[in-house]
Amino acid sequence: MSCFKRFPAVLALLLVLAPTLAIAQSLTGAIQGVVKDEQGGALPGVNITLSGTRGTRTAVSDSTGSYRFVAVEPGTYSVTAELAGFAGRRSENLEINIGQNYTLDFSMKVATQTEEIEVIGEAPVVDTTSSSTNNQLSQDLLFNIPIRPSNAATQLLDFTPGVNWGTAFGGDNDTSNGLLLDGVDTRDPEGGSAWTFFAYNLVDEVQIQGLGAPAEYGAFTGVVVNTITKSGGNNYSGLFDLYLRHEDLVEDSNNVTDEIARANPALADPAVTQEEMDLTAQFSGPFIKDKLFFFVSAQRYHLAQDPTGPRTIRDEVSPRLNAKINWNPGPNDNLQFMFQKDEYNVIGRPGVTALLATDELTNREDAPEYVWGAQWRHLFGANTFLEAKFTGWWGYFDLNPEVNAPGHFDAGTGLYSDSQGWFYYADRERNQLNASVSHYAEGWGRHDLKFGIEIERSKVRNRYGYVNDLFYYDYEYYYPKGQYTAYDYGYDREGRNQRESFYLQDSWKVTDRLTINPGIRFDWVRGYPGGESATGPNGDAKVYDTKNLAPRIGFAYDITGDRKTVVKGSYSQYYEGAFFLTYGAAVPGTEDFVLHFYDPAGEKCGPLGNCFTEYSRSESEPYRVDPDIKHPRTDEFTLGFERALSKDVRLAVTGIYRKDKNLQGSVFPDARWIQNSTTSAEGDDPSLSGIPVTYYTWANPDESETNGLLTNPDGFQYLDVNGNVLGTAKAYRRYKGLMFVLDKRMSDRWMGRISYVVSRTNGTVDNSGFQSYGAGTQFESPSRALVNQDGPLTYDIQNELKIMAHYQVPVIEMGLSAYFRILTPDGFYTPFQQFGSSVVNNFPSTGRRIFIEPRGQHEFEKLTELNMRFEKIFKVNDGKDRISLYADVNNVTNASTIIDVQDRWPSQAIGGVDEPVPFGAPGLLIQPRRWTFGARWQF
Amino acid sequence: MNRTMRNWVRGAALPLALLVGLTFAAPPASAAEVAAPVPAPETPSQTPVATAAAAKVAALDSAELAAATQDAATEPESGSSFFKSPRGVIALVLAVAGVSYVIYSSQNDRINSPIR
Repeated sequence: MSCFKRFPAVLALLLVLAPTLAIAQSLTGAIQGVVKDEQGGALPGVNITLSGTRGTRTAVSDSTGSYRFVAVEPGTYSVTAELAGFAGRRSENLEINIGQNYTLDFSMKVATQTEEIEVIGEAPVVDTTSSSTNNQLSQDLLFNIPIRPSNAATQLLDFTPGVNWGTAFGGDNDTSNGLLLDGVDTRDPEGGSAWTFFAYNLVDEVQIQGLGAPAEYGAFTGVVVNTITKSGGNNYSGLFDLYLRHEDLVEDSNNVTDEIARANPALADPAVTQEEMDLTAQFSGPFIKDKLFFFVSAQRYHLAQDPTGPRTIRDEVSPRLNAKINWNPGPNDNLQFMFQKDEYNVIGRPGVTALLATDELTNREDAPEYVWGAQWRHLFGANTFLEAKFTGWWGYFDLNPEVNAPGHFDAGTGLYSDSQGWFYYADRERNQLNASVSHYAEGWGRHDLKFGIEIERSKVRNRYGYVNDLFYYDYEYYYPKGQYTAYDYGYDREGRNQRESFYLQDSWKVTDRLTINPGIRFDWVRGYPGGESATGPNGDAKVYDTKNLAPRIGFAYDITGDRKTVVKGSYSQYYEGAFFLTYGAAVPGTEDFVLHFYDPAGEKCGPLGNCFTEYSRSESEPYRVDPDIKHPRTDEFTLGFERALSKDVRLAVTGIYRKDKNLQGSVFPDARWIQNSTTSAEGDDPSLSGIPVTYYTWANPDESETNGLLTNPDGFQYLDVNGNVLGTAKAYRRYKGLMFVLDKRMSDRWMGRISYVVSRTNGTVDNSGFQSYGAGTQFESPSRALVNQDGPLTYDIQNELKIMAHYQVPVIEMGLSAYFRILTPDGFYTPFQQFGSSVVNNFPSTGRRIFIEPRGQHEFEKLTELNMRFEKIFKVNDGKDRISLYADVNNVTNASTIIDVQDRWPSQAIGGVDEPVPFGAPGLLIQPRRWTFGARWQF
Repeated sequence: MNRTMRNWVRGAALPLALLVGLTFAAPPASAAEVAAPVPAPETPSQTPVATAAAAKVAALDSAELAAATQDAATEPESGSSFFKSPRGVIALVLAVAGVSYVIYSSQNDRINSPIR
């Protein structure tokens, strides 16, 4: 509410400042500088020409010798300075990245006899005017390093420092990262995971923002992955790429050791890839020189496997078509139109835990999608420009059971049979408009000002249910199959997200050395029930409403004054995006959970004629949303040092502190609890056997289960039957890290990056995905909220080393590339014991999983991975065409690192395995050594 | 000092030592570069306008200014010449084939959900 009270004042401030405001650099960079003569005097009237793939732009230095190019699209440029009477100068191979503001000064000499233009070098590797820390993946890295994700380019963020398994700087796994496609977020409005999959070869550059990010970046709590896709230019360009792995060429190696196979026999049958084929055809060029350009891309990705475990088939096909038109109707306008049609078709997707799934326990996924986008950029002169971007998509994914019959679960063996037994349909639509005005101004120093708005509208519909409205819960040890109990449950929930964001930021160059980056961002996030249930539980159309004010402040100081060494720091607040999961439990449409007992005379009958009578019904009432609920946010401090060690080498060291606040969850305010103690079950490990465990029994579910509340559970008190406080919930997550990055850009035939991150991620709310929003049920029961919750989180990667390198061998024209990483440990896990429903009284199964020792006492082992690429390059047609044959070998050492374990104490039933697998046994390995071959022609 | 703290210090010590080493090693490494003159730390308003340059600029006419802004980029290949060349024909054929194959795949590999 405090934010709400401040809102009018902030809005007024924004409105007052708006007419004088400024720049949108989310898709572009800028080049500016001063032209002087040999004595240091400013040179006015110098013609500066910026040449790129889509023509040239010119500027003339002003009375102070200054010039600038705003809204420069990412790419490689040359800049030439010419003035009659002086020798011209040119800077070549100037690589402009997103959001970077290059200072390029020229010192001109009086002309001598020669008319040639003197080449003076390339752009600096260190940006001394920004407090942000950026670690982008350039086109050179993307094209040469063997970091190709198996399916979609959205997975590229894992190759940057501080990001592993989709967890960025300790944040929620895969759900907290903004995924921008050409400057507009495209992730799933349900909970923030990736939805729009696009081809790896479509990517021109990936910028990872999130450390000291300016106010234009918001609606995330991890990082922002700003992906710029390719466009056409004045030259005809093409890329035709075949990427193939096939068992007839080279079979995948087997990295399952005898020891691993003994510990978990389900892994003894490792996955076999029959074929992985990725075909790309891209073509671009001009319709009209300097005016109208096209880009077309077609990709078909196919993966056929016999997966690990009892399943024998997994087949995935993704055809994707992209088209883009760029139009420059005049010197000051640029328009862009983009369209994508793609599908994600999967056979053999597991419908139960992967290692339990047989072919009949799988589903088929149908997931088509359309993506559209339009952009307009208008220059109002050298100092001001407008940028408007609109991107949207529509799609769904349906999971239909391979066998259309009710499913069975046997309580005695823990195994499923007959069918997965359920269906799931997810419908989505998302549209977002971003508009900004950028302005360069002078007064008390120089200012790059930017004011922008974002408007998001998105829709979510989720449907779930059981085939024939029954799922059998069997106990074949005592009862014939299908003649014990069965239950029924389902939902059809719809929601509409609305978000408006306003931001104002400045890059204030106080002196030539000092830059201050202040900014402020306001996000208004709302949630409504959608479809026919367009009113909430209290008759309100709106069930979720938060107003969030996020300040940003940063500085960058050029220590040595030569644009080679900078100290930078920042304080930032990032609020999460608008997600259905923050209020989904408050939307009507959930059916009661009904438990049936077998009864030949019962009225509810399955397809086999076995009938049931209703035994109990757990009423489903939409949760209420705390009217004072706060939106999840991350507070961040950074302090960094960057230095250009040579003209091509950059060293960056950044300290990072992040704290996640306003974490959300559901509670039952009227619930009363009985504290109990027991001992853990006996098992193979004596240190985990018979240890004291506290748990809580729900004393009054009938009186309290229909009063669920979505709130910020930090500070929530759990009461006993007499109203005494049993304990207070603590909901937090904290990350501390120190990041070292050494970058060498492409020169002298080689390039590379070495990064090392040492960090700690602790908390009571895990970072394993979807944990920060209202969907989390952890705080409904004190058994999970209060017992052993504090400690290292699942994705607490304490030491991370990543090395990328590429070298082009002369004479033989071979490309050698490598990607190497060590993660130690590769996260943490905690033993839980599954308590019976009767013990804790009627809680869902996830609420009965109680940690038997403090969180994070067990480490995953060190992950070591080495991928290499060997490429033979043929340069033909005077080097205009590059034809190459390449081979990627992943997991060169055929390491058998365990990346998941069986964490249920004391054991867990696994499909196809006679005896339950004990706690700590391997559950999943990294993929074995595998060879992929490719051929590509690029011009 | 607890175990966590020791690990932290141990993990950071080597990179910090490397950092310090590289920082002090950097000046010799970069000294060999041919860099543009380092500007004095002053704002544009404090920068003196080159007297000689001012005279030259005043003497310039518009034709000379226009001549100074010639396109420095490589002249792109024209559409007619590109599509008449063998590489243009091959590229066009491959592009059309690729798009056609993906459209075919989109029609034939589709898993159609029964409820749609």
